This record gives sequence, C-alpha cells and structure tokens, in this order.
Amino acid sequence: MVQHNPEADDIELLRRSGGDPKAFHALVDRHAQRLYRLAVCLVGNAADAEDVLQETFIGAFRGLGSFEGRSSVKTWLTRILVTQAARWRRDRRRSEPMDESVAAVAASPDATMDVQAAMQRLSAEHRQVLALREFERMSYEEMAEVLGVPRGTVESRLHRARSELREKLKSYLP
Amino acid sequence: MTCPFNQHLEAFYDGELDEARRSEIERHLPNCPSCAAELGRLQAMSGMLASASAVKLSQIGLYRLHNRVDQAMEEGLLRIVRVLSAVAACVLVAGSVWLMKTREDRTVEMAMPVAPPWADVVEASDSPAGAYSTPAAAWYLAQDSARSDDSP
Repeated sequence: MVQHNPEADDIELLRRSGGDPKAFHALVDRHAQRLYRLAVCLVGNAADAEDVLQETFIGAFRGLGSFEGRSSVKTWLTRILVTQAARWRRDRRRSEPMDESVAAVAASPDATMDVQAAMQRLSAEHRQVLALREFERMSYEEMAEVLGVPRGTVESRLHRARSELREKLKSYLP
Repeated sequence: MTCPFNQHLEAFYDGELDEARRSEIERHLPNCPSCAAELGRLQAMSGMLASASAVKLSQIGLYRLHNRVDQAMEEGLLRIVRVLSAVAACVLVAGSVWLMKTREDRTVEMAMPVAPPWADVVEASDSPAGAYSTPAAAWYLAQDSARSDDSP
C-alpha cells in the first residue's frame, strides 16, 4: 500500500509551480483555509485577512526559488503569512493609529466575539504564539522556526501570552 | 504555595515533555487539585480559542485568491517579456550604431583620391617638369621647351 505523505506532495507541487500554474493553484487550495484562519486571528477581521492571505501566496509565488527545503512547506508558508500580517499591522498603525478601545467596543456578550476581541488586544508577539500553538497545533520547534526566535523564547512568550489572555477572559474560565 | 509541577504543566499540555517527565506528571495529577485545576483552565482556554477560530474562507474569497495569484503570475511573465524586450532593443540599437559606423568608414575610404601610377614618377623626377603637378602640364612644358630649342 502506498503511504500518503502530505509534505512530499507539497514539495512536489512547489517544485512544479515554477512552470506549471496548476501546481501552484493546487498548493493554494491545500493551504488556503488553514492560513486564512490564522490570518483572521492575526489581523482581526475577514476582509483584511483575505488581503493578507493574497499577499502571502503572491509572496510565496515570487519567492519560489528561495524555498530551500530546510523547513516544511507548511512552515514556510506560515512564516510568510506571519510576516505579511505583521507588515499589515505596521502599515495600518502608521496610517491610522490603533485604538486599544476598538477591540473592547467590538466585544459583545457573545464569548466568541469576546475571545476574538481579547486576542486583538494582545501584543503582536503574544497573538502570534497563541495562534500558532492553538490554531495551527505547531510544536515549539516549528514555532521557533516560523518566528525566527529560540525555542526558549517561544516557551516563555507562550506562557506570558496565555496568562495575559486568561486575565482578559477570566469571567469565562473556571 | 505553588506546586513544583505547575511550571511544567503547559509543556505537558502542549505535548512537549519527554516520556519520563510526562509519566511523572500523569501520576501526579490525580493527587494535586491545584495542577488539575490549572490543566482544566488550559483546556477551557483552548476550547474557547478553537470556537473563535471556526472561520472559513468563502468560495468567493477562494475564487478571488486564485484570481489574484493568476494576476501575479501574469505580471511575472510580463516582467520577463519586458526585460527580454529591453535587452532585444539594446542589441538592436547597438547593432544599428555599429552598422552605421562601419558604413561611414567605408564611404570615407571610397571618397579618398587614389594617386595615379605615374604620380610617384613625376614627383621623383628632377626635371623642371617635375615641379608641375599633372603629367599633362609636364608634357606640355617639355614640348614647349623643345620648340624653343629648335627655333633659330
């Protein structure tokens, strides 16, 4: 029986993407939903998340030659998305300074909305580690690779992020 | 007082502990209400985050994404075509300039007067006729001089 290996499939698609547009579109289909969820968490709304997602895949297409196979395709694409989301937040802060109260205003009695609002009130670093761990189920090593920081930093950052989020959501937690 | 196992609970929950430490905590948990409660909070927070992340890219969104990727691919192709066109134009201009220059040199070469075979003879001659620039003038002067000698 032939073993199905998603990572090998990703690498094969990536290898063919330079000369075969269909291969790259197949790669988009395989990762779009996962990356979109992460983008929504990182930027806080669906419309901007879509823009960030588009920029991620365009960046990936333009940087096809830069993929050296040292990390998985999933990690590589996630790293591009995290970079694009950080750039988006930076540009947005420059054009219209972020108001910390915006997220609070958006909060509603609905727990889901409150969680999203609370996530947006975290610092970018804390939001990143929480999203990678809780949504992507990434290991500490993978997160360290995506964020370009040592494993120990990931561990301490994740601990602080959880403490901060717990403080904001304490009314919902046991 | 905080339980000493507490500091490892997150790593335990995230599946980042080695087998020995993991078993140790598993044995400890039923006997420690504090650690059990902490683990419960971690699970509850994950549950809340999971429900908050249940978003899906719509079919229209996916269609827009594919469209945008297609555009980027075309832009990439156009960029290559533009670069190739620019290189071709440069080669064409350089070739034209080279051809024009070669042609001009040849025209100048053709326009230059070619000295007749007797030119050297005339110039090297010691006769007074040698002072004249054309052979016809030299012949005329020589004839004229002979006529003067013959006359009484």
